[in-house]
Amino acid sequence: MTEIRLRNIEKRFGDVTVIEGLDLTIHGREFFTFVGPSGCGKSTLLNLIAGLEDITSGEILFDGTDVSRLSPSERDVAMVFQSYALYPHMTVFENIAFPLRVRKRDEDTISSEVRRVAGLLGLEGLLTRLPRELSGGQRQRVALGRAIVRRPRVFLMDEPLSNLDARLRVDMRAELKKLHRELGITTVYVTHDQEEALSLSHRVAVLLDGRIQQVGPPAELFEKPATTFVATFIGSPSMNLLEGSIMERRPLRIGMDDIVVSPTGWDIKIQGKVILGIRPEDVVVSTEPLTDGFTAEVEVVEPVGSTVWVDIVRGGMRLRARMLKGMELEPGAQVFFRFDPAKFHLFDPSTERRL
Amino acid sequence: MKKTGTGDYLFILPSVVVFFVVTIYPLIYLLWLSLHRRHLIFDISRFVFLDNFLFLFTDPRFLTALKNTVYFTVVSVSLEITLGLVIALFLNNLTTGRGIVSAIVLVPWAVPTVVSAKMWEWLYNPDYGLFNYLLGVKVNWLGSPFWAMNAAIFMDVWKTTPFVALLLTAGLKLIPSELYHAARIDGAGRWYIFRRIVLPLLKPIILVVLLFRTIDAFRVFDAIYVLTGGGPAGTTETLSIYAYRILFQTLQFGYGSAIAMFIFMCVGLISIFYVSILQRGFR
Amino acid sequence: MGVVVRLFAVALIVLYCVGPFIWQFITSLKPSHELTTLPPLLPEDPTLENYLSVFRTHPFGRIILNSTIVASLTTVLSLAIGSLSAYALAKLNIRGKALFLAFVLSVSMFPPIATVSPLYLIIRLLGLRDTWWALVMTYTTFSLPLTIWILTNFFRAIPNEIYLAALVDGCTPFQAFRRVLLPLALPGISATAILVFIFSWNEFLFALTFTSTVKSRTIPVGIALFPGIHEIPWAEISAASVIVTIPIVVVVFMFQRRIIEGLTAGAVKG
Repeated sequence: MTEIRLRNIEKRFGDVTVIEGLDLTIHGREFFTFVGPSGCGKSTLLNLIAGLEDITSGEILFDGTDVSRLSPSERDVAMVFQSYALYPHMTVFENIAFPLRVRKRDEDTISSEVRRVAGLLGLEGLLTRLPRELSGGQRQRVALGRAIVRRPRVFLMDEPLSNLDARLRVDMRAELKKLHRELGITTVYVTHDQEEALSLSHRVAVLLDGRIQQVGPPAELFEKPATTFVATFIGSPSMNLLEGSIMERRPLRIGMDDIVVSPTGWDIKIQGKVILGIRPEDVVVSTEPLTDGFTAEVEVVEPVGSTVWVDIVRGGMRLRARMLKGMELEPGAQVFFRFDPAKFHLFDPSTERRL
Repeated sequence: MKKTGTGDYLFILPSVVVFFVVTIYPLIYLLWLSLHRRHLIFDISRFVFLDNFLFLFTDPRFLTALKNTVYFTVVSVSLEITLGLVIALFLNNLTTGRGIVSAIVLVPWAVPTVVSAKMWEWLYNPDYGLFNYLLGVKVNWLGSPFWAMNAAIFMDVWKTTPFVALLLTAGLKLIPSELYHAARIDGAGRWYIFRRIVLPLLKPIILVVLLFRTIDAFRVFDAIYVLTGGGPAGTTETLSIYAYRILFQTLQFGYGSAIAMFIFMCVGLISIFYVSILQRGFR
Repeated sequence: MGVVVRLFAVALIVLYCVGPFIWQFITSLKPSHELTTLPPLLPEDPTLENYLSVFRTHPFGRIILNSTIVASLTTVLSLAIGSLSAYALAKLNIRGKALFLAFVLSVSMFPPIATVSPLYLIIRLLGLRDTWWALVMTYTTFSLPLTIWILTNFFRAIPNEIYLAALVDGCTPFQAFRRVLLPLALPGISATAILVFIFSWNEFLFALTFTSTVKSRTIPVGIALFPGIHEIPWAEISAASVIVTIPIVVVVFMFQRRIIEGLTAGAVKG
């Protein structure tokens, strides 16, 4: 149930500022994720919350109490590492029991707690094995078991799924979600994989260069990206960003190269240049002429099973779009395309923020 | 990493204390002693500043010891590196039984120097020694001014070449075999591969081994002290033996400490020399 | 290379390394009157008399005991002190690590002769002359650089996340050391232990200076100063040498890989 508050957090390594003036509240019971490209400071942030590194300035509060100067064990947090960091010389049982042993719990409690956790994670048959005798997925579970066995105030997970193969990763996501629902412990999760972030979390913070770009529930990040970075980082394939200039504000008409589009639902104040974002799935491509459509040439066709993505070019404009099912296209073919006018995102080119 | 806790320094405290008591303090004490005329029996202690050091260079016995030490160091270290490299190349090519051969090669290195010195003294024995018997000669190896130092060098080479060979073998193992294959495909011959690929890649390790060996040879004591005692007529007396004699047989702690200080400074210069080459190589 | 050439080379290397030991062994089996006749090479009337006399007419048992105790105490102390420092250098956030390591390395190059005279005076002052402790203290210090150097490399090789996991699981830095990192560095510990033991078993200069009677005299000094009545007792010296060489040969053959690992961790990676 622990609420975590980060107040004006700053972290410097020598002259390099990794985290800058960060303010954030993570609610009790929440599954909260930091997502961002490598080097954005998300792992550092997790280590700061864990107490594995010291903050340069600011405050970290757990339920209103300042824990900034406490050691990891005093903060009562548990952490799952990317490499799992299982103790290679201990059996599965001893690995899970370790946090309890350090806290000098009696042997009966240890035994029953380890068995409870092993049951929860399906590890009953593996308790006498050593980590090197386990598969990647099993190691992952042991790492989770070691984290949950002592019911910590906060769970910290640093890219825990990134060493698993793609199939297992998706399975483990569902399990993590279930586990979180059962335990109800505040969880802070770090990943570079936006899909993982969206599918797991109550709320997500997108980090870039040590600053939060946007915080919100997954749907909000997807539907109303606050910056061009969030717009391109969240969602796969990436949102198309196009340059345009405002021709008329009411009704809105924006010119791009030799075409004009009319995004709906916007009331903007600025003039001149603007950045238009549109997701590939909101661009329709057809071999037949479309109303309000334009012509373009097919450059690359990329089938991915359920859908087919296609890169199209018109003059200096280059777009990725979704192709309707059942179409057969070759590179070089002439096609027609059309934007969904309600699905445009508009950004200020000078600040790269949403208008 | 985490926590600027001062408790972390407690972990190195024992080492720091031990180093201070048994190396730094004695070294300062040595410097102090070397600036004094001090005799243990007569209980004399008088400050003479650099007199002891100035006297060094007019002391013929010191100059001979210096010459002996340099000769011993240069000859033994060059022989050890050459022979060690040959054995290392051979061990590296050995496919079966490398473990056993390595263990055997380690034995001379592992036995006490005193034991090997006694062993060789007996082998060199002019009347009943195995060498004279096998060679069919009657040479007084350890009693002749010409042979004594070379006999000591020969023993030292026998004792320490294994160490050199094993370190160089470890260095050879670090050279990826693809490199040999690539060179062979490029049409390079054995000797060419050795000179242009193996030697340059092995250079850092050769330098490290040279550093260890040069310092060890320069401060040589037990091997020669037991084998010849510095004789005959001081022809095998090295700096360490001379310093020991002055310190503990004539009990002139002032002058003896000056000699010891001189050895310390030489070893320091040798290390600085090698370390600077090593660092230049890595840049 | 042909097989014959290769075999010949192996035989040559082996003979070069073991030849002197074989001659020592042969000598140790000879009764004293046979020592002064060559040929025959092999003893005509082999005897164990020399081995018995090493213990009966000389206090060699006590000398071996001294060496064993001094080397064991040194090994334990050096590992205890050294592993703490190595852990701090590898995993903890302390300042001046590079400086400390450079200092440690320079201590390993100290010529023993440079510290023997001041240490002698200090030991005399402390009343430790002719005791095990004089040697243990000195050997511990001079084996510390090797210990710290090798173990720092071993601790560094343990992934940092394992150390961090131990902290998060509730360990203090010392608990993380004792319960997690130390067990994981066991191969390094044993390699270091062997090297330190061999070093203390073999050391001569300090032992010669700090010991004066059989109370604390160690093997190298015992053999160097082996007393003879009229002439050097070569057969007994040979027997004594064989006795002290055998444990070393056993250790070398058992732990050959560990020893080489330790030596190279000290030299190659450094």
